[in-house]
Amino acid sequence: MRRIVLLALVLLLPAVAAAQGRLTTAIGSNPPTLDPQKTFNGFSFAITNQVYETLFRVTPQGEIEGLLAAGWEYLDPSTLRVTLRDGVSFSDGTPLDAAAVKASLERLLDPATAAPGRFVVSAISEVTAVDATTVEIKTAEPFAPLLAHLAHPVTAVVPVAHGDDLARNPVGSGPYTLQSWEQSNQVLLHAKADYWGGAPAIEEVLYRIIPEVSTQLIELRSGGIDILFNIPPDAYEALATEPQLETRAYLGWGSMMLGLNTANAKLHDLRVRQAIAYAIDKGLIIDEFLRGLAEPGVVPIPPTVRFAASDLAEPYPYDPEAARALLAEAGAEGLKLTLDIYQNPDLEAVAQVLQFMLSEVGIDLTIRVQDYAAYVEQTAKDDLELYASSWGTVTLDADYTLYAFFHSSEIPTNNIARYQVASVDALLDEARSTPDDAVRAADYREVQEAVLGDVPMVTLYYPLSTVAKWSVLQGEVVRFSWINLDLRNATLAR
Amino acid sequence: MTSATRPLRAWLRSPAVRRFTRNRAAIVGLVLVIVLAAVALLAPVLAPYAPDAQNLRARLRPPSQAHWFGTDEFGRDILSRVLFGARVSLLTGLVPVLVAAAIGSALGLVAGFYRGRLDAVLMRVMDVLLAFPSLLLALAVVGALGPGLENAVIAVAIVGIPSYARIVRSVVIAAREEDFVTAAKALGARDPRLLLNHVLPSALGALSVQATLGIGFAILSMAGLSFLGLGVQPPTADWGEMLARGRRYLPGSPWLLLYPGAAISLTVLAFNLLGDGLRDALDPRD
Amino acid sequence: MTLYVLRRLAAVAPVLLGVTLVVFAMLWLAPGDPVLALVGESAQGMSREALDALRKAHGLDRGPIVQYLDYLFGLVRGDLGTSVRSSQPVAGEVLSRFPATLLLAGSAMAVAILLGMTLGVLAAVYRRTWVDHLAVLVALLGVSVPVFWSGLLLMLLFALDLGWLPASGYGTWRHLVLPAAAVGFSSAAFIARITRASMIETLRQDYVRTATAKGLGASAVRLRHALRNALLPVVTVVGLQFGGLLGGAVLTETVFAWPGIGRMLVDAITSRDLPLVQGSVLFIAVIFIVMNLLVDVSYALLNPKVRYD
Repeated sequence: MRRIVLLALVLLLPAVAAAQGRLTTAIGSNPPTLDPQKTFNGFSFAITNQVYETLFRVTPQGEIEGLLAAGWEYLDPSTLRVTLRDGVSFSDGTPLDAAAVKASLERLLDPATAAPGRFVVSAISEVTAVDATTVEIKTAEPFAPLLAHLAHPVTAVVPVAHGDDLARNPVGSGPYTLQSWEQSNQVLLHAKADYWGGAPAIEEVLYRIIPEVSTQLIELRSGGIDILFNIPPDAYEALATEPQLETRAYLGWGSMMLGLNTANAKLHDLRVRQAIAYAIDKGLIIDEFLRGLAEPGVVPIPPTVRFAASDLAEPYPYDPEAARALLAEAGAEGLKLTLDIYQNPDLEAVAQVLQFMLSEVGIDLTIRVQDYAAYVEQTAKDDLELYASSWGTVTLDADYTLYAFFHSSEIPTNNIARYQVASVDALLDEARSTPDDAVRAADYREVQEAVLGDVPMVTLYYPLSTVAKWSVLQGEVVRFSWINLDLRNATLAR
Repeated sequence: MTSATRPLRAWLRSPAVRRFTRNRAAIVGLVLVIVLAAVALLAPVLAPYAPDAQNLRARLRPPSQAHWFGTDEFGRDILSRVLFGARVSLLTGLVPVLVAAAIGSALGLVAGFYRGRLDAVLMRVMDVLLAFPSLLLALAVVGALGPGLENAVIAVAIVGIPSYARIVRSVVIAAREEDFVTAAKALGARDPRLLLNHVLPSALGALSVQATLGIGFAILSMAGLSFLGLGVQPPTADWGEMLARGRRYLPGSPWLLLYPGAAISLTVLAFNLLGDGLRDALDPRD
Repeated sequence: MTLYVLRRLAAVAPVLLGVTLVVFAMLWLAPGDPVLALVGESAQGMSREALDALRKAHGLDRGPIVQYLDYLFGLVRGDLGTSVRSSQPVAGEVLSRFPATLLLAGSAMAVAILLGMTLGVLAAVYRRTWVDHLAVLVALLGVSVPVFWSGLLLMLLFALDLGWLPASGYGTWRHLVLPAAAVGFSSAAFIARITRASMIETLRQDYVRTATAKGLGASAVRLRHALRNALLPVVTVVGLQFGGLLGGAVLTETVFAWPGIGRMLVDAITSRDLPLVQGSVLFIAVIFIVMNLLVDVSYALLNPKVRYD
């Protein structure tokens, strides 16, 4: 009998040893799919980013570097030639060569794929495999932010032969492969021993799917998970004081903004828009409401984004007296406005703070919370007044946000503020098509100055992203967002 | 003794009322319901602060002398919000029940009075509605119409309709056989007014039991929908909405969740006690 | 008996058809452009042509009657449609989540029966004493407390403060305890009420008095005879309670990160994945109907009088 117990113990030992190499984290929702081309969902990308790889990626310093690309050059402003890293293959053994990259990009572009992220690469007109490791990517017009777009998770290279099967059985070139996926419960990844960059030290990564933030926090504190992202500011403070936990806050790619429909009769007068800007105490929101876990916003894009003119000064610092005076001057006393938002806890909270701050200068604000589809329909209507948006400049290139928000061709889909200034259109067009970074920087600076003066939106703050982890985990890199968790050089010492 | 008080005294001496007043649990329920209604009405007088007054410099404070129930994430006084929340919560409990009772009773009257194919069709429709677990049906309606207060009220009302329809229909069918209806019909009063005058009063007992218990259920359902982010939307001070927001501040600030949850529990308990008491009084089979 | 079962089945058929109609109707009741719901926040930055292409790709551009007929024929083949969010067959998604929900609902049912009958028996045996009042109050409290609220309080106490049980997750019996207790507590009241009533009824009856006269101990009599007779009415309400349990499961699954249909349904509603909402609702409704049918039939087996109804 004792021998059997002993035998069982011996048999169990390897299992125990392997379990020490398992990192556990939590995500808030079941990823709808693990095919990066079929989704635009952060919970999907968090996992596809471990399994698949893109041609390029953005370094923690905000520079663009090759991932699958070993080198690249522009043959002309509309033709990008990429040399692929040699000897990389998908986890099914097929080579990740130029033909694979071409097929993958073409699948993403194919309308039949119905890829929600197709717009990221819609500038591309043709992809050619020159030889096994050389790809040429042509755009219809010169498209300066192309490299940044090819770092977007949706452009990850997939082996097209697997087709729809990728949704549940992902096959990529990344450092991890899918071991098992219990729907709505957990996703388990296993390190790839023959990963081209060397096998990761952490053997298994377990994503537990826990919808409630409070449950996630309880799990973190009771040791059920090792690392947790996007901690609510109020909980972050308490976690930061726990000795066995390490916490970190960093600036990501997000902005929180209040948009104003400049075409609406109530908001057409610049003085009214200025009054709204003056009425908002950004410092109070950041210091108290966000517990300091944000930087005050001025221009629409945070300093992490290329070409952000972050040195521009706040033209409308908090001044309720000035706000009241401007409203009186504009004959807009007793102004009643409606703020449209979609369901999102951060937006709902900020909306309530704004409601109170605006009430202090005599503006009566009604908040209308709708689900996303209804919200989008509302923003397309002319009677839209105010809206709030939690936005991410995912490509970390100014074009992504400034073109969408302020180019007149994007009214009303993305340019919800109906901002229409011919000189700004010209600047945005030029900046998009010139390969010269100095010109781009100057153009985008001018756009941002114009936008600050005209107040089509008030950038409230740039939220800090947060991480809390048990100290056993070391060496992980998070680039701008939790979906870009890089574990290739991380270790786990239990 | 004036003549006006005589019917009242007679009513008070009726067996149903005597059974009710002797039921201690039912009286507790009744008193609680009255107190809650008074709180809802007097909220502006009782509340120490304005329910929407924010003070971002005093956020998430635990219960204290100044704030008996603590403050929420906007620095608002939770006690004041719980008091004001009674208005919304009682209303969102009452409205779906009234709507369901009105529609359900009308359908039951029509089905029971006309019988035949109309009755068969209506009752099949009710069967279909009853084939869904109640919260699931509410979720399905919200899932179709989209989240929001109005849609949640509609959803909870639809869930309630079949039970009222069935109650009224059975009473009508029973009453049709009774003499006074037949007699009235013989006199030429063959129209739906007959139903209202003669039949509905006899259904009132069962309807009131169903409605009282229904309010409790409606409050719970509305709170559940709000909890899932599908019901009452901020900034309305409503207990379900307070719970939905407050749970995001666990485990750090449990008081955001504790008091509105206790308020819901107490209110639903009150209506359940009252409803059970009414049932025992009106239907003394137990 | 066979005839009775056939009659019950025949009565269920139109209800089932009605259920499919209600479920299908959800699609055209829905306001807003479903294609926007489908891509969600990623519509930020998308052109109108891209949206039209997506709409076509998901068959959202056809008339409602064609879509209903398609839907019905699909159901006959076991095809519940395709989730817009995951591009997976809805039938597979629903079936993969069902065991978790069944496990939770089943365990909660066990808790509800155990707790409900204990409270009911106590209340009946000690009728009109403080035990009776307390038992009734506890049972009523269960049905009055929001199940997600009691679930969170249980989690705070047993997972965070005491550390006895895991806060969330799925896999072992320890994960099951808190959610099953929360859901079970909320469904115990009705069972307690029925048990109490039928126990009081049974205790009045002659053979119990006879048994007492034969010299058996009072408590033994109560447990053996009365309990056995009280079971029958409890069986009949189990089917009805199952609906409430499924509802409680929807709310509780979210709190405890339980990977069941309820949570999937709530996710699907918030992400406006209508095929998945329809599929989950239809599946749970059918399960509920089948459950009630089984209860009816088994009750008829136990109690032949019913069959003449």
